[in-house]
Amino acid sequence: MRLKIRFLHTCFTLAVAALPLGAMAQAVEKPRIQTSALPEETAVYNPSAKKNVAQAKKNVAQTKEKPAKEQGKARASEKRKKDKKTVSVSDRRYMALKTNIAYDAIGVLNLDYEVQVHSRMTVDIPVMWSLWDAKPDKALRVAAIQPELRWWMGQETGKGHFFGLHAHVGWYNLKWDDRRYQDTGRPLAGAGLSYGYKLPLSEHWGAEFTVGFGYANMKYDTYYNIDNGAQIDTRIRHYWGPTKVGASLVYRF
Amino acid sequence: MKKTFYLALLWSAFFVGASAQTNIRLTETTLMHEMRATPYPKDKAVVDDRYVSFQWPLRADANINVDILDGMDAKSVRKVDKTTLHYQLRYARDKEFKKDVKQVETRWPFYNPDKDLAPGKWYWQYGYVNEAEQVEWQSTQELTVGDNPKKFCPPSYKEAIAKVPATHPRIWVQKAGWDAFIAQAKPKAEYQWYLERADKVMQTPMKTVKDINTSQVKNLTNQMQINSYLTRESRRIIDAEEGNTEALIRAYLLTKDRKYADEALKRVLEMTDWDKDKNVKGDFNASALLSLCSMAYDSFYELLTDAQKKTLLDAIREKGGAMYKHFNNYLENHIAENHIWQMTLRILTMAAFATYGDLPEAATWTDYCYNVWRARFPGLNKDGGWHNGDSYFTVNTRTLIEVPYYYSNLTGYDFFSDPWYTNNIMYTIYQQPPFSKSGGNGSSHQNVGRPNSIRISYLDALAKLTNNSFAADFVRRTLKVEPEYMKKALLNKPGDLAWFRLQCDKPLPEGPGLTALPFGRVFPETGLASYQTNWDRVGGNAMWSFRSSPYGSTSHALANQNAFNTFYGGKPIFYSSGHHIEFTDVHSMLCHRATRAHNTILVNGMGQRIGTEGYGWIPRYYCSDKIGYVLGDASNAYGKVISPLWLERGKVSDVEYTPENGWDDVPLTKFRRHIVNLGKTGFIFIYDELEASEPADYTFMLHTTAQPMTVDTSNPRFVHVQGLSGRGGASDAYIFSTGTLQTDTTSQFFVPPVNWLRADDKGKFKKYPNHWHFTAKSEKAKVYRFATIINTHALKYPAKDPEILSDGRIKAGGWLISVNVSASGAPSFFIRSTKDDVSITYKGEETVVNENGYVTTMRDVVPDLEI
Repeated sequence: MRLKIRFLHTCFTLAVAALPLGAMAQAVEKPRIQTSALPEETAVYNPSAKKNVAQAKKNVAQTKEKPAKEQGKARASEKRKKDKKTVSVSDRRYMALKTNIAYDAIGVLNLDYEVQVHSRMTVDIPVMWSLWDAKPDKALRVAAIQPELRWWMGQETGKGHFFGLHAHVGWYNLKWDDRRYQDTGRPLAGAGLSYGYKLPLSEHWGAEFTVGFGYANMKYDTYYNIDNGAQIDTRIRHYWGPTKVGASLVYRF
Repeated sequence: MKKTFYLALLWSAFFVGASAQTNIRLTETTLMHEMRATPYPKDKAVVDDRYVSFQWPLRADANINVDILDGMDAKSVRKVDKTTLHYQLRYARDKEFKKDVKQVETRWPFYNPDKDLAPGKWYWQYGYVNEAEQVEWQSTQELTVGDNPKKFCPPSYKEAIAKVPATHPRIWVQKAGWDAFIAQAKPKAEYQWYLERADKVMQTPMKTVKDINTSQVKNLTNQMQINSYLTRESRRIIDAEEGNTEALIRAYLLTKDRKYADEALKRVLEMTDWDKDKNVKGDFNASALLSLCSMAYDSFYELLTDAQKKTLLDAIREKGGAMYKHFNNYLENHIAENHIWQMTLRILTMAAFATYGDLPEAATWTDYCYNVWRARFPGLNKDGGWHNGDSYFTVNTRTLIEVPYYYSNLTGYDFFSDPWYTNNIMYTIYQQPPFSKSGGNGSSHQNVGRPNSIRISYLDALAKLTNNSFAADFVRRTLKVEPEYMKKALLNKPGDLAWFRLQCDKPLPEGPGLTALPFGRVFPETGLASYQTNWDRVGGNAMWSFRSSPYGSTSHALANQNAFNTFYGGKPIFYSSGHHIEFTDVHSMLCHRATRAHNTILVNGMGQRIGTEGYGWIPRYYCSDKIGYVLGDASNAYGKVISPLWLERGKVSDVEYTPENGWDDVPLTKFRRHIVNLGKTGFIFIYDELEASEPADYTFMLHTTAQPMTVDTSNPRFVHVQGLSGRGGASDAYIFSTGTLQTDTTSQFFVPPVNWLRADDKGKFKKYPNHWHFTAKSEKAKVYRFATIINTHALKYPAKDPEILSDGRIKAGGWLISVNVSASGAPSFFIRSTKDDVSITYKGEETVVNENGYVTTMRDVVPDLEI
């Protein structure tokens, strides 16, 4: 149980920590540009490229080359007021907060954070939990995380069709009729491929539909579904099939 | 193992496929055409910024550019009578033209629907009606009309003409609002300016055509020179008298004082036949007389006797008729007819509306002038650039303001909402910043030392009319130094906007000024670029300009594809050289228009073609606050002169397009010049890619016009050339190349400039100064590359040579440059700032800029061109 609490804490910490990181990235000023490049190839946020340049800059600084002082002096008096520019949502790095209504409907609350990491790629981090019993003999208690790397097919990241590669880790305790199934301490784990479609509804709001298939490895104990019910057996299952289904409400920042 | 192999193969194929895209190598003989060659809108075009105007090429037998040179007899004669030409146009939603087809007949090769077409897909087709009255339908064009509520849609001719009042005056003032106009004008300085000038004219005896100076004709050697000399000398008399008489007419309109009207009328009636004199040459003289006749007719209408009205109307009919005859089935499709655009269309427009209802011909003229404006004026393409350069741009000023201002007042529709005007303000600002020399393009640019009073008046007008605070700031900065600067343009034939300022009460708008503008701007259709480092203080501004243009070197444009110019403190340093003595003068053609005059490259000693065939273009560009980049392609610019128009002009002007003079076929297959603006440091990096089908030599050129250059070849890694502005600025160029260069400098022109035309008021012919020319010639090679770093700076802060690091990289101005100048391997460079998060990578198929972590990837894009 302590392990589960630690896991949940970690998940929330990760989710909460990711937000300011994204916000920091967003704070980097997008240059105002006149260019011949196609719109989808103009000012695409690529933090790894920025990192490379920063690293290169650091390397250059280590060479201890002094800039031409004269040039510096000559230009020192140059001052320039910069326009505050207006940037539309679609111009910004894609970042969204979501909840999967399909899961919410069966009592599995969830919160999902997605952030752009490449011109065509995002990382999606859904965290799911259900800590309540629906009925005395039917309940799903679960805490899971299913991070996914997505590749967007269209010209705009965060809109239209995408494919994803996801992994999942989860802890569970399922009561169903006369049986109860609980992980053995080794969480459910696996991976899968998914397809989805994001439909913008307004500047900030949208809907996302996704379905995924893949593999999950589960080792669980089976008990009689009564108080202090006796353990029946322990099994390992290699599951192949749907690993993800979603109909989410999306808020884009 | 097998699976891994196939996967690897698949990935390899993907990457090979991805990198197999090639740069665009154009094969067209011309990009722009002297006369329209393709229908407009182009097939499958999407039009969403303005209403649809259908335009199409003339029939082949009518599509002849007969104007060799102004005032000279045409050598080519059209076989058809232009007045009999007519056309059919049909358009519909279906390709087969079966349902709801709209079909019209027109007498001009364009048609403006009264109402804009509904959004969606349309099909259209034009046809030539032949002598047997059969329609020769041409290919079907597809068009998509965009749904943009802000698109530019001026009212139809029917709506406009219905608003013309029956009363006079109706052009420069409206009879109904005359007194109110006088009251509004009286407090303004321009009111006094006109009266001062008119009172002076009242005391000045009139000159006549007998005063035209013909004394030098005997010394001239060919018909072109005689024609040009007489045009100039006759204009000296007629322009002066036109200005004087116009001052009187305007003084009458401002005061209703009969003495001005009487004197003006006397002069106009004296001048009506001046264009019949054998020494009066050129269409500007004829248009000056038409202008005066129509101004007098409209302004003095209530004072004129019937006989005087008849005299004036007869003169207007004759002069306006000749003008319309010239325009008809010609102007609509001409790339940019200089004189018509500059002045004569405006003058016919005003004459037409002044006499509409009184002269039967005026109904046709108004229809023509209004609709041809709606069809294609004022835009030469959409980017707002002016292909003829800064000197001849200002000659269009009154046309660009007065015609649409008249239409706006007449119809109530804002003709300045045409997006071209907003872009043109940017052209006007960027190509010649405050107090700075012209960007260096177009003939006669040498004479434009700072934005002249006409240019400032133009910016003043557009600032008010389009609410543009950048233009307003430009004007304020100028007037702060010289408050009455615009008075210099008073009664200037093509550029006086003082009357507009009396009519328009709008103030200069407030808002962001020049310092809020980006440092660079590219005009991809016109093929121009310029960058600054300091908008706020011209004294510390390092600027460069660049041209690679689809217009080639026709009209006043120079054969300077892929050429750049540098400036410091508003003064030119490495600059375009030579003198514009006359349009086709031998020195002007060989040493000012020709490629040898500019900071670009000769191939086997040969330059770029004269005509639209000698074109360049800009496939890629990027402007931001941290870095700038422009790529010009002049691969198609070089070779023999083949333009029929320019060959004919050469013949009549004794200009020979021979290899000895610098024109011949060359094996060049690629000349791409990249320029990277290295932030606000004043440094630029230039990379030239040259390839030929057989070994050729390449001559890199630099020119200065103020002071000699110094050349230092002591460093084995580069050639160092320093140019000076003569006013405290310097450009230091460091030229790296594939092999050893043979350098040379001279202060002599290829052909000396002889002033046979431009005498001052006292008849003195001022000598033209020499300029300085540096050449660096390569050995013969199929592949050759130059990489040049230019540091433009204040002379008091001496430049430091670029530092070459142990790994071969070059460090200059806080930037690190890796570049392949060897002939082997792919052309490439990588440049990054050591102080900022910005870099640029060129690797053939694409150029990538990384700025603040935002990546922009450029591949070749061919600009959309109008004609």
